[in-house]
Amino acid sequence: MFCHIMTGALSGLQCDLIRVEVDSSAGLPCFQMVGYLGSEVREARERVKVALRNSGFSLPASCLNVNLSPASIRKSGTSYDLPIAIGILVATGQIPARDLESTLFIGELGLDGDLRSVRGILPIVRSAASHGIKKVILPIVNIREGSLVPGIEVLGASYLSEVCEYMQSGAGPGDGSDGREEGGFISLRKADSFDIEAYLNTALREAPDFLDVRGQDTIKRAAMVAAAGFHHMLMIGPPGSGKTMIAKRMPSILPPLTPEEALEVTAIYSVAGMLKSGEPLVASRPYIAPHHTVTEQALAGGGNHPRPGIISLAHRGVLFLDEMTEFDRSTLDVMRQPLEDKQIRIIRNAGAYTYPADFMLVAACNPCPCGYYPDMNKCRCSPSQVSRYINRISGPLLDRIDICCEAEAVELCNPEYADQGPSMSSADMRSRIEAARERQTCRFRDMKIRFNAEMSGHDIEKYCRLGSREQLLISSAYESLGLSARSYHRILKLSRTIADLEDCDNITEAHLSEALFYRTSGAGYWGR
Amino acid sequence: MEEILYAYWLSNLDGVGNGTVRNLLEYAGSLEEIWKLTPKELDSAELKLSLPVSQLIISSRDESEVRRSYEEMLRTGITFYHYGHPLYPRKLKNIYDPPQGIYVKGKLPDPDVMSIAIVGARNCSEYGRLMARKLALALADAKIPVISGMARGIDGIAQEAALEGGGYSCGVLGCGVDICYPEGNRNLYDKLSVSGGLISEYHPGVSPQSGQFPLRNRIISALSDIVIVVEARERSGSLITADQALEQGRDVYALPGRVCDPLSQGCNRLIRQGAGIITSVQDFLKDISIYRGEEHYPVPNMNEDTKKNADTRRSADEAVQMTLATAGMLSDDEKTLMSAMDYHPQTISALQNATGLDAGRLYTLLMQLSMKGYILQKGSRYVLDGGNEQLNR
Repeated sequence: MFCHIMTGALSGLQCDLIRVEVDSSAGLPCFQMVGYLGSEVREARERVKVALRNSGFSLPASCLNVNLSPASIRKSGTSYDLPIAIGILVATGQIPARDLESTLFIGELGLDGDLRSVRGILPIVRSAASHGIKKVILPIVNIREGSLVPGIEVLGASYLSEVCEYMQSGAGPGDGSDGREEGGFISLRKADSFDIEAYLNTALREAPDFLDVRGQDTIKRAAMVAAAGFHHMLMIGPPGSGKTMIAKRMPSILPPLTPEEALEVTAIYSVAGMLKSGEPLVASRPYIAPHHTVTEQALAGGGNHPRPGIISLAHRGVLFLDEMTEFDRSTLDVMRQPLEDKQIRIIRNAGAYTYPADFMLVAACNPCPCGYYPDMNKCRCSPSQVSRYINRISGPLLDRIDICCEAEAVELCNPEYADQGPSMSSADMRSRIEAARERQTCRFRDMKIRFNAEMSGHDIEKYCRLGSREQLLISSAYESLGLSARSYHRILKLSRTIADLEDCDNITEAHLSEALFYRTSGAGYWGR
Repeated sequence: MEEILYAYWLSNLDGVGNGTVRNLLEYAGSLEEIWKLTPKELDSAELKLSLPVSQLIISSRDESEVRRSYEEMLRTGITFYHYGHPLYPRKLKNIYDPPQGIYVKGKLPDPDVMSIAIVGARNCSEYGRLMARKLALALADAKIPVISGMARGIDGIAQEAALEGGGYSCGVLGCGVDICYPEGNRNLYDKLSVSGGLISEYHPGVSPQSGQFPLRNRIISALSDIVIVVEARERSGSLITADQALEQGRDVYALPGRVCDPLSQGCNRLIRQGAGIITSVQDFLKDISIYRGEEHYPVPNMNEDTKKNADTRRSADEAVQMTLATAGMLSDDEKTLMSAMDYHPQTISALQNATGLDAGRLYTLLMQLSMKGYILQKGSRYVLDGGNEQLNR
């Protein structure tokens, strides 16, 4: 007898539907699997055999052939165990076929027949829904993640035997499809409906508060501008001046994720297998701080079947590079193209994969090997040492960073700091940022973009109109500072954000000057 | 063969330094006699020559070759003066261990005019940069040659300013005069070789080596009548120059700095040890007019002392006045901001505290003032532009 079961195969964030075809026929007893299988999938044969036996079924002495179609797509991962097991049971007549055309099975089997979690549930369920699948049966641990997708019934099972019971119970016509047996015995759990917005609102943001940062008002202001418009930011300063401290507090002032953004981020984490078990949805903006020994592959994403790299995991969030000058120059330059395109395309043997990578780059570095330049009283580095050190960051990468800011050494023992009273807290900053966000939401309501930093040249012309005085200022700055066309646009976008923060409709000289200040703060180091 | 060729020949031999030449001269009597010394005489115990050196002396005695090399050097614009040459600087002769010959590119300083050396730290501060410039510009105005080492930092800044002010400057190098070191001063090197002078006791082609720089310091101090140390750390090379100057009987002046600045510690110590103190450019020019014999100031008595105080106050007032004169072109807010600016870089928050301006206005003013060239952005800080003529004059 022949049957086929639907399941899904991940490729990047995309998903292809796969038909698991099982044929059981008379002949020498055998169990063969074909269809361009990776080694995890080939191992499924042993797992399925034992799991079936331990779930109270027997493998009949017939010739079993399993084909995963289309056979041109490379199959990897452990999510094929459940569909193969169900296929064998249906093909050998041990359980009845029930809605096989419109049901998708995913899950890894343990030897005792229990169902274990797999990665990539969200994109698989999403593409299943778009292909007209009505029902998904998946491991119970993944059920809340699967239920994020509207318009599809998601059922969770803990054991293979539960799935079989469900299939048997529903064999008769007119049976309710809620997985409830007539006797009231629940074999499969149906997912509760999931209110994404409510979940996002209740999600706890655990981040240290900016209140702890004493002094550094300029940098705090810069951080606020960066968070409001999603601009990249670089902090240069002596050791111990609080650069890392400020970066760690960035999540506390980032605007909350919108439901669409949360789903995008969750899909990436799901594919990477990095969703935490208690949290079906990534509810706050990611904050990723890789160590400076990170490799190009780890940053960009890699492997035979490339998984999302660090820059994709930081999608819609913050990528913090501490000690940026210590990173490999080639590793840093990997980010150049994603910083422009907001996505990264990785090409490997198994095909080309595209992952989104729209992150906010926050970087910190020392100005020279000893860390104290330009304080000539402390710094003993020669100019060539300083320029060698700082030039480890390539110019084109710097050109993409809107805000450059110098952290000054803070003398906490200085009574001036004690007298200052409480400094700006995260809540104060967040309320101003949210006001600026509202202006942007209103501005971009009919567009695909959300932040000022994402504006294209056309949008800039439309939303960053300058008066005559401002035009004069920027054109003289353009000449005296030797700006590139890209930095010209970036300055305009930055001044738009500053104007939004100040709640102004028009960009004034003050906004433009501040944007220029952030842009030129690195000039002393790079002579740019 | 002319005497200069003998000297040129000797100074071109590796391993034959000033001391060796002096010994040889003492033994042989004249440069020509050295040329004629027999191998046996060269081996005599009195000379203490090592075998390779004496062999080199013998093997290099090729008149046509020496002449050819000398003429080739002349063609590249480099001249050579040996100790006995009429154009050899007088001031160099009366020091301990004078160079037996010097190579010159460009012009030598006028021997009849007093000259002043300005030396200091390579990693100087904005304050040092400013003061070096001011002093050098004033000296250029007074037609006083500025001698220095063409090093990075104070040396180069002072020489650059001296040439800019239309004065003469001369760089004493620790390598051959055909080599520009440090490469960053290429521009200055080119200017010096045209309108100033470059001097070295090392023959052309000798590469810069760390041991040669302290040695050239003795030539810097010897060529000048006064040595000014602008900024120096403890144990800095500039202090070697100051020590040499004292040994050679030259006067030393130092620019005072704040007690807590490591870059000024060397200078402050010199002052403590009795070096002249530079309280302002005008005061310094008055001091040196004694040397120049133009004006003689009576020994100050008690009343004079108070008068002197008034003088300094007046010059400080003058500086403010001058700043205000330029401020005629500035708006009120700009003037407020200018008065809060300093030659030490100021952070935005410090400026905000000092002026009471709101942040937006402050950024606007800062951007305008830096476009006008009054201030400079250093990272996230702002500092008065030490190179701005309107602020300096």
